[in-house]
Amino acid sequence: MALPLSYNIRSLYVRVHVTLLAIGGIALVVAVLTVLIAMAMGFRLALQATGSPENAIVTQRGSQSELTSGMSRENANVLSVNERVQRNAEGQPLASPEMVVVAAMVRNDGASTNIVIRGVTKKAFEVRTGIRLVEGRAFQNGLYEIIVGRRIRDRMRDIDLGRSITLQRRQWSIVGVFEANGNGFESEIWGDVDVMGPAFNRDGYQSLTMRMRDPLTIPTFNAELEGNPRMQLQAVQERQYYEDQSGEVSTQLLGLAGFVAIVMGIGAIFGAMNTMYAIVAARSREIGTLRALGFSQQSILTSFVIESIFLAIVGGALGCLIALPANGISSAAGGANFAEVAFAFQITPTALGIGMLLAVLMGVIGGVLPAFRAARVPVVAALRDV
Amino acid sequence: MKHIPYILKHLRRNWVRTASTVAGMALCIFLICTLQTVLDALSKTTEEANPSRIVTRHAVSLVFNMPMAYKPRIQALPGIERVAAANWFGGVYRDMKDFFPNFAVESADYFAMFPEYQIPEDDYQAYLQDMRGALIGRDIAEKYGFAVGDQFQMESFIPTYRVSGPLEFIVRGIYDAAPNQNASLGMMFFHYKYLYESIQGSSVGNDAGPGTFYVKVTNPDQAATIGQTIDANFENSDVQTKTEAEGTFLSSFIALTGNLVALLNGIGLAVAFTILLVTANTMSMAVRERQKEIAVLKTLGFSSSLVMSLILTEALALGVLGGGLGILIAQGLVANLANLPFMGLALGNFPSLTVSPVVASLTFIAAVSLALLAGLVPAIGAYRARITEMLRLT
Repeated sequence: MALPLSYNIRSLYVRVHVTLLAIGGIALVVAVLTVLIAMAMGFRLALQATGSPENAIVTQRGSQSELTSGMSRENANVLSVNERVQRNAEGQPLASPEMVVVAAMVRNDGASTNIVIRGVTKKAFEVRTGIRLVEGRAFQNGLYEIIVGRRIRDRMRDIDLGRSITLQRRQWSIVGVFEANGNGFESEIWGDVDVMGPAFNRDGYQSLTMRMRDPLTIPTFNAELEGNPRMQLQAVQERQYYEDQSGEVSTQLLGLAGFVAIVMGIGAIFGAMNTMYAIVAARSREIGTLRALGFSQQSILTSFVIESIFLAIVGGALGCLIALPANGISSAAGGANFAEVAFAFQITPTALGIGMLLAVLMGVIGGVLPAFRAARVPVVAALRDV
Repeated sequence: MKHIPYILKHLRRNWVRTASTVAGMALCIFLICTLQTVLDALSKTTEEANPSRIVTRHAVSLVFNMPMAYKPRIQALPGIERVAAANWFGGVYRDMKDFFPNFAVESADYFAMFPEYQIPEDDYQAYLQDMRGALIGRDIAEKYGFAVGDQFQMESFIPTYRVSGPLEFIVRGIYDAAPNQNASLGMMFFHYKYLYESIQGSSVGNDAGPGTFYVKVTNPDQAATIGQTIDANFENSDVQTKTEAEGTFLSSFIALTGNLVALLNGIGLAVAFTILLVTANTMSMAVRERQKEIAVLKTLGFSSSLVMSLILTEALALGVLGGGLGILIAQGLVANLANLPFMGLALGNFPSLTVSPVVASLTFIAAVSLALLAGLVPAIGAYRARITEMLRLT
């Protein structure tokens, strides 16, 4: 016969202080793991959202990032009129040639960091659908005007609407602030490519992003490009391109999360085990009585493991609660372009689920040994116990 | 002193609990110790900086190069001893996962201003004579089994440096850190001239100027002023420069990793709190179990403060055991940390991590104080407890 669950809950409440300490230990481990996973996921989701599944991005073959890529204007023009590229209402191809450079700027915390500066044409706003000006206006072609991503405005010193920055002996006025659904573009500064190219001594482009009539043809398109040795270019689905760039950093973060969770988790298991041992010791008389009443060793064992799991679940839930405020915290990590990409922590259901799973695991491991001791309590001796 | 057997007896009384507390604590201390070692390694990057060295780069960012003609113009300024061009080559040995930093430098000038690299004189001369020569840090040499005379290839991930295909190198020397000097042994250097000539004549030949100039000033006190003079000198040229102290220059690379330092410190804090909870748990259980015994001690004439300090010493013992064990684990494992698949990515640039005595002692102090803090509440409880009430308890 199984013991009712309410028995376990009540008995945890009897030694509420010790129980709380054990719950606190488990909660902290779960909180740390959840926050680290949320960070890795936030970075990954931000980069993933940067690319659209409908677009293809063309870069130099073998380049690791746009920064180390390059293509001539002629090649970009030839590819833009490819019949695979979709056209807008005016019949112009939806292809956005872009220039990427990196500039060192000062963060609010005083540290110097690198920011992506992207030269674009008006087409960029048609090819990428998520860009939305939230303050000011768009830059005008032919002028030294720029618009900045919202996260740049928030993280960088002296960067705001109405101010200007000096690069290459030019004053670039900040005329607008844009949002891009929290994705990587919000960590960039955009301006007119035909102004930026000469200003930064760059001829040609770094990448060409195109809206495809049928995204499924991207692999064929890539094969065609590779068959053309004079171009030395490659085409990848844009979403895939940015997802690949998140790879190393998010793997590192997940690795760190795993390492910390395992070490801390084992530490907290010892804490839970101590609590359960104390609970078992304090109740040996009670256990003896239960055995005398006819409850089997099996049901005592199960009951104590359940009690430990219950304790861990409460700890896990508390840990998730502690972690929740981290949702949306803005942080930054080094992106592929030798520049930092800001992103928001994302406490996703998966992150919470993994946290709870760890909690249950800690409960089982921490509870098994004390439960065995409970099950083996000698009935007669226990009853004779004071 | 005479109470030590009493305390040890208590720790042994419930040895499972003592052992698991010490083990839990040791693991947490191991984690803190490891995190601190990584942070220490990060900050060491900037400590290697020499106050008499300043670095000039393109005003916009490191991504842009400067004209070679800037070297004589910098050298002509007062207070400057030497100037050496140095470029990040970005060469990949075998595969991206085997990446280590490698630089093309103007060797004679560069190594004259870096006395912290120790190279056997004969090897150094052979390196200077060989256009394809490479100097390799001890850590890299050991990791990949490089020996003097070995030939290998590297191709840069920067397109400009790839126009003539992979470059051929011959290991001409392996450098160590000079006695009592900090030096990263995880890098490779080769001749700037070799890189420059490999791209001369190609379409990108003109883009391949120096990425940085390392400048050694005669008087470190003037370093900041001289930096400003250099930048002012190029203010009205096509390419402006930005000159900063070597330390500032190096720390900007750490800033690029985002909020790594804050993240690691945050984790450390949470781990410390876990230790506090686990130890407090144990201590409060230990005291609760022997309330009667404490009452008896007090009845026998042991003062309240002595009873309290007995409990605190017991907590202290847990801290010493757990802290010491944790630091030992860290010392044993930290060197292998870079071999783990995921940590290796993060720590690849510091192949020779060791727990420094400073980190070890700081962590130990943290362990002991956390344990004392954990023992404090039950100890105060025992100090205040009234004999009659305690004796009346079951």
